[in-house]
Amino acid sequence: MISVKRRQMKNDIILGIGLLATALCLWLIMQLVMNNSGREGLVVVITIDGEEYVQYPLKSGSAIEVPVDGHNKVIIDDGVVWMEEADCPDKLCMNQGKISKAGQTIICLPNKVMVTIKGGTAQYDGVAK
Amino acid sequence: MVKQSAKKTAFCGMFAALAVIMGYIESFISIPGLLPGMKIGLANCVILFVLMAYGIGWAALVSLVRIVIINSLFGSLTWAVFSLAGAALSLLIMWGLKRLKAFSVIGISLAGGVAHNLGQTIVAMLLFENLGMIYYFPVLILFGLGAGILVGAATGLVYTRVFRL
Repeated sequence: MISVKRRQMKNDIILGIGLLATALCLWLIMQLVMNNSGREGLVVVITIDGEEYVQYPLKSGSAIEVPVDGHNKVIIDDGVVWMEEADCPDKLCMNQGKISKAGQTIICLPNKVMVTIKGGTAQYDGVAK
Repeated sequence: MVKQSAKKTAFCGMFAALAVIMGYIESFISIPGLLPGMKIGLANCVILFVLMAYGIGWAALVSLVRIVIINSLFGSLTWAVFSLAGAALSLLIMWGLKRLKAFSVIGISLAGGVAHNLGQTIVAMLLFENLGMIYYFPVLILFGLGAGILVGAATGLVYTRVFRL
């Protein structure tokens, strides 16, 4: 039952390539949507457990340090946002690097903190209520 | 029949323990740049093995036991919901592909890996009410593919060796 047959291997490869193509298409679409959105008027929205906590303009000239509920520290510096500190065990949010485009998100699941860049004309960054 | 069932129960208890340990080991492996929801899915080796050997019922049970134990030890309710969604979607898809008999264990596993990542993210999107997480989908699919191939290859190797005995 488990032995890899030729036909099965072919199907595996087709499935793999199909998924790869899907990923590529999604990525291309997102790049297109993102490049069309202006960088003006973008805001950084920080939410805790789904509730909006604080909101800052993405571009403000000077670096802003935002402590979030004593658990996380977000830095917004000239259009770039990153998670500077987090007290969660996995630190995945800090590893997510810097974001600068509409629709991009940094998430700290253990603390339920989410940092999103919103605004512009990106079509997929709406909040579904 | 009764004897057979007792044997299966014992085996599946063992597999559940193994799956918990796999998940625990995985929590030590940190890969820089990893996003939440991205996992190698070492535990999926065990789940996949049980699925191939004993069928969907036992695989679902082992998976459920694993999630309950892992989350009551280290996680939270939120995490449990994410893992449950990922595991359920992944298991359903793997079961469907296995029934088709058109794919080898590697094909089944890579679809399962992608489904696991996507299932988790979709639930996270709904919970956080944030559609922007779609942004992660391509990366998640890619990662799920790679991890799924590894997991499938490993499971296939173990399976052929165990059942040759």
